Amino acid sequence: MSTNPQKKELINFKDLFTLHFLRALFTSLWLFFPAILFLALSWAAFWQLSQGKDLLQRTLENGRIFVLFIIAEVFWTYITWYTCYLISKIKLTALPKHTTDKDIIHWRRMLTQMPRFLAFSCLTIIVIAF
Amino acid sequence: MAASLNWLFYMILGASTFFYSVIYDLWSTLADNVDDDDRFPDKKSKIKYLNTYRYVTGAFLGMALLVITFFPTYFFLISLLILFQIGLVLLLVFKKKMFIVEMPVSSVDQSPDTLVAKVKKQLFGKEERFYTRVFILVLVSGLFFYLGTVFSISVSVLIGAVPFILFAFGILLILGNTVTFLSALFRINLHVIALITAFIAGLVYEPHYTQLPDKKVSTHDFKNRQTLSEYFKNWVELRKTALDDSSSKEYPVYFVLADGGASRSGYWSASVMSSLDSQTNGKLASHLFCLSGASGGSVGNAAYFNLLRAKQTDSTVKHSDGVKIVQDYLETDFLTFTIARMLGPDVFRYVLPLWFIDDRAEALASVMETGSGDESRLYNTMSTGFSEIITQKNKPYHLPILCVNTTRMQDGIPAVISNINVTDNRFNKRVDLLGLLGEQRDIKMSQAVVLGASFPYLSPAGRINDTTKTKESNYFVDGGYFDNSGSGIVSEMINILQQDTLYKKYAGKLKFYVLHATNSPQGDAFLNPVNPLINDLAAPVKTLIGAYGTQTIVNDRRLWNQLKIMYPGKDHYIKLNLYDPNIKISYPMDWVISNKALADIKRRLYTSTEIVKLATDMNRY
Repeated sequence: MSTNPQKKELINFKDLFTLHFLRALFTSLWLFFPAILFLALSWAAFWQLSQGKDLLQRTLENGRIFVLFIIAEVFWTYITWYTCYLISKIKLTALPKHTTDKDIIHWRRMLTQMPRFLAFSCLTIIVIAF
Repeated sequence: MAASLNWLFYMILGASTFFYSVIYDLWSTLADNVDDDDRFPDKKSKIKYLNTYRYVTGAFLGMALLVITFFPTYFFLISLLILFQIGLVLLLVFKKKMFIVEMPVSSVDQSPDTLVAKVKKQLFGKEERFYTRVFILVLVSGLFFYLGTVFSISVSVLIGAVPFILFAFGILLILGNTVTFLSALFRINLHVIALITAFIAGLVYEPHYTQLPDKKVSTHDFKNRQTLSEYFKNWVELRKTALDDSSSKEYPVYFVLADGGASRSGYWSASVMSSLDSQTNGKLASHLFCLSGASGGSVGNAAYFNLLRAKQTDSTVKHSDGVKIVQDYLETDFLTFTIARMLGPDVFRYVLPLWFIDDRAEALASVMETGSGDESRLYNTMSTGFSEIITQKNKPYHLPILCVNTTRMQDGIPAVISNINVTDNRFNKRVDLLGLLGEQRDIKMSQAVVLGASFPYLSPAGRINDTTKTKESNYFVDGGYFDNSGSGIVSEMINILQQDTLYKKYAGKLKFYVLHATNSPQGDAFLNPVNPLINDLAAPVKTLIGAYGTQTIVNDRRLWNQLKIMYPGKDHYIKLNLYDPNIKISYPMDWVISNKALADIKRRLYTSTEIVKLATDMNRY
């Protein structure tokens, strides 16, 4: 993985088992809950319901719906990243630039990575659903 | 199998976090080259390096998009989405790096501290300016599709459900995150305030009235509908020659039951009935006494009923055309327009009184009327008012009894919308819904079947005020809550007819048959042990949910036994099940069905031994 995680704001594997990380994770789940809610809804609609699976089948069968689906997927991904990014930016500007407080360090990393990861997950959910 | 597949999905989902980390690490290392590599001594060369990656990635994704537009295959789609994931992370990482290279030192903020200034700073800062412009462009195009689908049935049919759902998620996310954005900016939880506002608004505004039209034919009174005995007398009168013909021993009388199950059940039951007519040159129609169903089954019954009406008024409609006519109609996408209202105006209705835009139940009714397009033979037939198809005392009537079963939400009492009068006490206190309307208002066939098909959450309970006496508020939901096949009212009809003197006269000849179009997998569910905590906490809820389906099974079985007693040793209850027990296949229960599933249903229609046998039996009469 990264040789310089602090510079890259990357969350390392060993960080996953710290209380600082868990605190930051739960706070971010609350902060980004609208985006997470829609990810959860798409998981429920396209993974859990047989109706959703048939809708995806129908999307593959019709060329027009298929193209619109690609456009809609790009739309949803971009909106997820951009709107979450703006929220994280407000929170980031309120944080001190240099600190040794691990809570703040993890929170900063979470705020940096979460909008990107949520947008990334918009694609993941659909890839696996198909 | 399904459970293990689910676990595989969850594992892949978990692995995606590591996939993200690896991609992120790789692109970050490449982006950080501009800091560490001697090849990039100045700002210009750094920017050139970063831009090369960005432009190549953009071009690559653009080309992939073009390829998939021309070759829309499963393989290319998955490849494209994974490429998008890799490209997305690159663009975001390089975007950040670009900003750091271009603006290494942040300038001191001298903007005023007003709301507008704060928002402007966040949206149009140096780093965000470009992305905000892209956002506006993306938002406008997304809104175009979103609003087009919300307001136009033809656009909704063109767009399809999955693209719309994703557009709607994007639009609603903007609203949700705007509230979060403002909450973060002002440090007040505006989500809670929005929820409280929605609750208070609900106290003063009812969004789910069924929009009942006025009657077009004022001479057709609901209170003047024929009773069951009068209808039976009329039915016998029209077939008197055949009944008095001593050369034939038996004259079958068919009662059709159609189980609920959205378009799946409607498609199956209407196809079965029109296929039987096609194979027997209309024998089913001429021997048909009653159509009873719930939920999607009522949609199928209503479509078949409208086909019979079309045959009466248009001699060019042949029995052999029936299957195609009902299938063309029921292949329509009823879902997208309904979901568009659900994820559109119905979300905002909690806080905004959008009385000028119909709710999702009305949307479903509208799309059932005109969604099939004007090339469909059944186009707009569902907009017919029930007053135009009801029986009237002392007037001949050539169509079968139609029973759309629904359930009153507040007390769970079954209700019926029917072309005959069902206020007889022997109908066991069923609510005669047309009797609540008075004589000024009407209800369209589409509204009637939607009331009987108010799926949990997808369609809200429709409110109809009783204008006749107590002005009570009645909310109606899916008929399947109480009786998912419509067998209850048929059982009561047979009981009443058995006491009828005219029936007794022809009892030796008239033989009742129930044709039950079902669309659920056969067999009993396996009973798993229940966790003691769930037993203690949720036993009433679990039992009520279980009773939901079992009540129908008991009703159906009661009718089956009733016919067994009437005709010992003979099978007068004929099940026509969509599911073949020898073939493992799953049919989706939805308001739109894929071509693959439709093809499977059609295959079953022409291979079902029960249907072939029934058609052969009918041809003997």
